[in-house]
Amino acid sequence: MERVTEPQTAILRSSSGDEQQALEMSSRQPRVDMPPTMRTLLEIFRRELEIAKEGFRFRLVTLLILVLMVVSALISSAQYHAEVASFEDALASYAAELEGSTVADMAASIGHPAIKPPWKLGFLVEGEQLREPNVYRQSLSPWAEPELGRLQAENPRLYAAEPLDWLFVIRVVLSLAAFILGYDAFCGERQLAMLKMSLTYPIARWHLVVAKVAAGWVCLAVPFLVGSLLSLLLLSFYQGLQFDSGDWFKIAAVMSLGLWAAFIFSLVALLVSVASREAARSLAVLVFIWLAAVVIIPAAGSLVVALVRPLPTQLETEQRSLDIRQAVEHAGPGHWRPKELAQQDDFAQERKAAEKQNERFEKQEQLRREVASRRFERLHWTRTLGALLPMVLIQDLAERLVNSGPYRSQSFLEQGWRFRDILAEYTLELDMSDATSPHVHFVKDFLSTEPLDAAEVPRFEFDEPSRRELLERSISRLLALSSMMVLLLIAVLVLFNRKDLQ
Amino acid sequence: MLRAVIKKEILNHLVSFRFQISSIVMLVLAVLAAIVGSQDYRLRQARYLEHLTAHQQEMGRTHVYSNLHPSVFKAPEPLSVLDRGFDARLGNQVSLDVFTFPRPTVSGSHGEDWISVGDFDLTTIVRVVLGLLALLLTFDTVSGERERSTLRLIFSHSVARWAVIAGKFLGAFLALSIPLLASFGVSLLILREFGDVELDSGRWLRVIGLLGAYVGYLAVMLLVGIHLSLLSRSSSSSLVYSLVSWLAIVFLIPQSAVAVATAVHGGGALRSHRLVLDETTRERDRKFGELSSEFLKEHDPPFQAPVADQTARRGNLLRLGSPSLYDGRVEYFAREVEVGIDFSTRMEQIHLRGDEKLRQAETLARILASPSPAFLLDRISESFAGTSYDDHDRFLAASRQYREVFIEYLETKNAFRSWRWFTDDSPNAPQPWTTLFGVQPEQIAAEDIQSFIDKFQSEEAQDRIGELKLQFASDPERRLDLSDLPAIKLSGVSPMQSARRVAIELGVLFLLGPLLATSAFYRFAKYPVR
Repeated sequence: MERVTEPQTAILRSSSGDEQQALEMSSRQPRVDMPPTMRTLLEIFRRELEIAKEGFRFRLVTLLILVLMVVSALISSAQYHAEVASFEDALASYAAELEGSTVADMAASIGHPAIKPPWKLGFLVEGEQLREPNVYRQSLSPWAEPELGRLQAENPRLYAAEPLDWLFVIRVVLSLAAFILGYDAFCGERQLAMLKMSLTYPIARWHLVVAKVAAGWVCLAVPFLVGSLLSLLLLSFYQGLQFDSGDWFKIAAVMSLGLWAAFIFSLVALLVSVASREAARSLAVLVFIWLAAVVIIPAAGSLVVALVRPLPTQLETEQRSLDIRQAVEHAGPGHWRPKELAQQDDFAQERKAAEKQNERFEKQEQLRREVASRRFERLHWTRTLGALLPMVLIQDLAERLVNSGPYRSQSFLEQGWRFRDILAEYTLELDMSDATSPHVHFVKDFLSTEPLDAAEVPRFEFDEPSRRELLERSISRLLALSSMMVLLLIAVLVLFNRKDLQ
Repeated sequence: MLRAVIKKEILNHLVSFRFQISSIVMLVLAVLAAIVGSQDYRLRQARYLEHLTAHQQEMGRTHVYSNLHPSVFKAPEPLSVLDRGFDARLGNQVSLDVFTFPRPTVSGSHGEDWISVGDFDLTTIVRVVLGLLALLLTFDTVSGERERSTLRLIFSHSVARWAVIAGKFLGAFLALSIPLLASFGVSLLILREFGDVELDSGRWLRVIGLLGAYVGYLAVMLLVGIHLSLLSRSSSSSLVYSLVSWLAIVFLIPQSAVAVATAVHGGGALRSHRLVLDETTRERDRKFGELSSEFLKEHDPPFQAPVADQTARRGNLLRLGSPSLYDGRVEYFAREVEVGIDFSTRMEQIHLRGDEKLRQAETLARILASPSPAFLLDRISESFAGTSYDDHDRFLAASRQYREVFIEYLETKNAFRSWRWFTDDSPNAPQPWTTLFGVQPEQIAAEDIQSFIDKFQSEEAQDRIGELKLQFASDPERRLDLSDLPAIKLSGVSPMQSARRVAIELGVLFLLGPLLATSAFYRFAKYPVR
């Protein structure tokens, strides 16, 4: 990097040419409608913007962002439509299964699916929803273990580490773009003695900082906004996606987060640029920050957490499950007999046996839920570890705001667990209303054989959190990001004020 | 003169800030990844051994053929520490039976997670960090010297242009070989110490192949950087081009290729495959239902035997001691097996057809991503490390083949048409019903059933049943003699096979080098020095 000199021909040209004259002219022109500070700021901002706009870096970055966002919209909508088809197939198959079934079938034979609806906002924050389980199938029978899986099985041969969504554009592309655009904002000008020249005009140093930050932000915000709008137009008109008010709130939230992130990334670039003596060194530092924040810390963090907080092995879980089974089943009497025979003592033995089985199921289910909760807990640890870096913090915030990523997966599983209670309550009610049923819950041969009204069977409905809940969940991260932004801004201002421009 | 240029370039790089910091970052990351990877490997190895031992014990305790489910295990690959690939992501155990086609179940450490922990291995570090370092070291190799007018100075000596560009490439290549070799060596050392692994000769050859892939990738990335430097008039624009190219090579091209292939071949193919599979499963279950109602009703005992056990996957262990009931069951089970094998064959065919479609998507992604040297490196290094999807395919193919051997074995034992499919009772062995009640189950009259149940629930009977169960479980005569069951043969992949599988990727990567080099020589020959 030592050999690099950054010519900044654009600055030289504009500063010594028309732009410089324009700056002088405008500062001399009296304007009654704007305070002088504001006017100065605006002029510097315009100059910075003009320079950036003419540079190939801005064009390259704009092109990259636009292409990515359009490709992302097309791909995610294709994936969404495929998911919708699978979702409908699964619902139709479930309805067919219920048709002609009895209350006993409903309780013990049918696996009732809790299906996570297709993630329409995958283009926004995919959050691994195409890889995470989206169906939780459970029967009320104590012998049926719930199954967690995916309806739309992914092609295991195609493994992409990162989905191409808006969050990818924000985290990976906008951050790199901000660094590419802003790495030489101060040190580059300083190397060419342009900073000293700029400060010979009657402007405060902070004017320069604010104008540069604003210009850097606009250069990122405009392509991002245009890309977002293009993406939305494609999705709405070409791909036929319908968004409700909740979706629009999330879209607006991610767009705002993108704009906010662009501002923070610009600040990081300016901070490093102010602190560095050479443009090349500034870029090298920024590239390493980027590499650490986007690649290294998330990957290393999750591995470290996996080692520090290991999950029980499959065999350990199986052994604990077996212990539960043996402990419960060996305790107390209870036996299964043919129905006609069991009737004689009002199914007393069967009731005892069912009680034992239900108790065993409850304990095993508790174990399964405990292991699942620990998986999520581990992921939250990984996120907390990485939250010191803006890219990880932004990812976490985006997933909280739109209810994607682990928050969506965890919420789905917890709702799936609650769905069991709803099914049990409904089945119990039906069974109890049948006087001929032995009411041994939930054992197929000892329940009501009345036909089921398939349309009345409660279906799983995934509850999206309200806007208030989303904001409440995000408040700590919002505060963290705000603090990060304020600290960065103060650091840039203080550092630049103290900077020796020689 | 070439040597002088190389020496100058190496020295320049070695004292530069970007080289030093990148090398340190790379080395630290390689150490961290190797430690974490080795621990993960040891954990997976321990679980693999746990499962293997548990399985062998389970097999030794099997009493009837319907409960015999031999498993095929794939041991964790030690070289997964260098390239995790698919090794920990896909199942490494296939449990076989006659009713289902072989499907892998998971018994890895990370593979069983729903939430991926990320792939952080030496290949990733080489792909991401070394790739970036290669571009950072070469982006201004020509444009920078031109800006500082040192290029003119070089040409004022009697040095050929080819020697300058070759010297620059070789200088950067040799300089970067230091962090690459250091990271590689340290990773191998950690693998040996922390992973407790001794590599055999085949694996050593594959390690050399892996190193070759890294070196090839490094050369290509350096040449890309030199090209970008030749294309740009200024170092700053060259640097920006380099960063954007790196982003495209490492992330955007491979990800877009995968995303496009998923969108094109994903949903429809998977859906139709799943629908056909579901329909076939329903048809099979209907068939089993029909069979059950046709055969079992007439042979059912008046109530379930106290020492009969039904287990998963259509395995049955009955201890009723009733020859007439057993004879009835033989016919039923033989028919059930026939239907089961027929359907499992059909389902396997459906699955293989579906897999063919998944392969088409993979081929499309491979074609689309082939311009990215990073993608090529991934494919090649996975193949040499033995962690590619092809290795998983080999494992599945071996499992399928072994299932045929297993079915053949059962046929030679006449297992499907004998009592031994579902009971370990023999005319000479103690039989629980007759021992407990002095009669066979079908001999109980309807009016006597309640008295039998009362007898059965008495403390004395329960104790006796417990004793019998223990006695039967530990009776070697009642266990299957599996000494003649053929063993599974899982052969390793030779280095040549590894190379052959990725011949196209190797060809493209090693063709890119000479192409880029020729193009760089040509461009530099015409490069304006002023």
